[in-house]
Amino acid sequence: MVSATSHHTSGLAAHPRLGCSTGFLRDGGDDWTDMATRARATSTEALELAALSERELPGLLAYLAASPALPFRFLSVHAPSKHRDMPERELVALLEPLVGRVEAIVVHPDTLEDLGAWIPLGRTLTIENMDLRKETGRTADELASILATLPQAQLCFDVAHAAQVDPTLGAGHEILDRFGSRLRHLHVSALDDAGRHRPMTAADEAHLAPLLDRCRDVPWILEAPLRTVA
Amino acid sequence: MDADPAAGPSGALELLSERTGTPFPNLLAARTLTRRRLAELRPRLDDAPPASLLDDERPREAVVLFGSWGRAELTAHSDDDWALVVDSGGAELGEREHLLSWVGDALGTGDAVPGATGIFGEVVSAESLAARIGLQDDSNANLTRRMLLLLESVAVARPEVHDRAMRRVLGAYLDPTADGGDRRPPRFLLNDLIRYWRTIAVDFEGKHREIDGDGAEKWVMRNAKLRLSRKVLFAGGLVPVLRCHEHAADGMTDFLVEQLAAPPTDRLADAFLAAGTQAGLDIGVRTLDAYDRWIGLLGDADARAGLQALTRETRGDSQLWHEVRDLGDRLQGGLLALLFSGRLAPISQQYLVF
Repeated sequence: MVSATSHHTSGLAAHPRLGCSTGFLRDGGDDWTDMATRARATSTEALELAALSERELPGLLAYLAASPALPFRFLSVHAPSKHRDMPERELVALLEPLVGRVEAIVVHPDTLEDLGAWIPLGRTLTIENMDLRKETGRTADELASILATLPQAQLCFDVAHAAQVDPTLGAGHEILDRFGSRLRHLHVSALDDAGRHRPMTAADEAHLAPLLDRCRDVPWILEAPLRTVA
Repeated sequence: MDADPAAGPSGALELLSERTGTPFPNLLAARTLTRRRLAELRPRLDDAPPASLLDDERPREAVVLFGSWGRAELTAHSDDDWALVVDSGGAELGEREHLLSWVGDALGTGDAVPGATGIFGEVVSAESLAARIGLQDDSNANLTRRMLLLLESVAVARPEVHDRAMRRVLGAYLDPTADGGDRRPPRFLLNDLIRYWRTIAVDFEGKHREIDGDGAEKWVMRNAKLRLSRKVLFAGGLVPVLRCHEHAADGMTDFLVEQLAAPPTDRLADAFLAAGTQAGLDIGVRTLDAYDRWIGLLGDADARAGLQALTRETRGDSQLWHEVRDLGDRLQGGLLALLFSGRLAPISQQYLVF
């Protein structure tokens, strides 16, 4: 199975490398097996296991340590970006065993202070561009010094963040112009007025198509459900 | 066909490099090495033994190199996979036996010995390749030689014979009585090309299952090549065949001859450039950059030895294996985007499954 498209109207569903983030599949608990099972309903192509809060990380690491049989061709882990207490080097030490077991470990650049601490993650380390709520990592210029300091790090391009930062999409195009060769995967959704991820409408898809078209070779991770037939 | 693959008319990889500022250092270095080594070899093979058929007024034998030579991806560790390509005959060796021995003294010596499959170091008749397509007489060896001639071969002596062989084989596929149609991919050639790719994939498993074979010890390197080198070989044939839909039937032979004269990476770069979009450039860069890194690993003695030391069972803990798998994934993603999300998408959907 690749993408399940029969009940979706979204053009996104036609992307052959579509997958889900568990971020929108979480029902308040830490049942990673259940989230992975539900993600399969969209696609077996890609999955992002999102431990967005530091509190969620031990459960995720325990789940992965048990070597669950996951059918996904592309597997990424979103490292904690909220409720962070752990020193960076300690966090990296926890994440390092995932190198070689997942394709990407996504981090938010505004949470990085000791860039050198992240070097052990090598090319698995994947830097995501940020939205307007963050103070850095939003534009190509702001990403440049981080990506220069971490030359092996890859890029996770969040189209919704890029469109929020610059609705003309110019800032997003500049990120792809300058760092597209390091693109590993996409985060795909739209943002509501509060900056929360929401499903894309047809108008969103049309608006973002110029960015999406430049990225059709990499996995697209949905951060909100596909819109469905009413 | 006469041109070196490294100096082919397209030069599309170099053009993609220029347009995007992407260096492709390993691929371009391999091209330079291929070009230099061919230039060194040619005088030696032109200095044919007395009374050699190579010296005839109308030469009937070409010395042809395959594999990384034909792909212009030569590294210090490449084999000399060569054959004597002839217009016809070959079963009765006669004076060709002398010629085989003479070429064998110049090529495939030391560590560059040709693969032990019996495909190379032999006489290959264009007549047989063209006449035996399908059915019982089209052996695995015949299919392999025919496809390698089309997809990754370069003449090191008597290129005019090589050129005739290429056109003869293409002519067999494009014969209007067997196939035809303006602005359609030539289905006979397309089907055989897909058959060859699937044969490679099936034989990979067959080699692994062979009792007393070398499947276990070579599994990792073979698998890596299947994910990367073989995939580029296949895609480098598939894309030009699909792009025949841009041409009338009577223009397809010349189009394919021009495309196949260039290395597979040029054919792919050309297709990405032909998209005429920023997306084509972006995806082309990422696709060929992943392949460039693979060529870098092949040319790195430590990385190569590291891969050769891995087995199917031990590969899971290897960072090197993980990188290879990652490069293969990126390559495939780019090729799928080329085939299914751009101008080729309707053609791919119409022709690639049925």
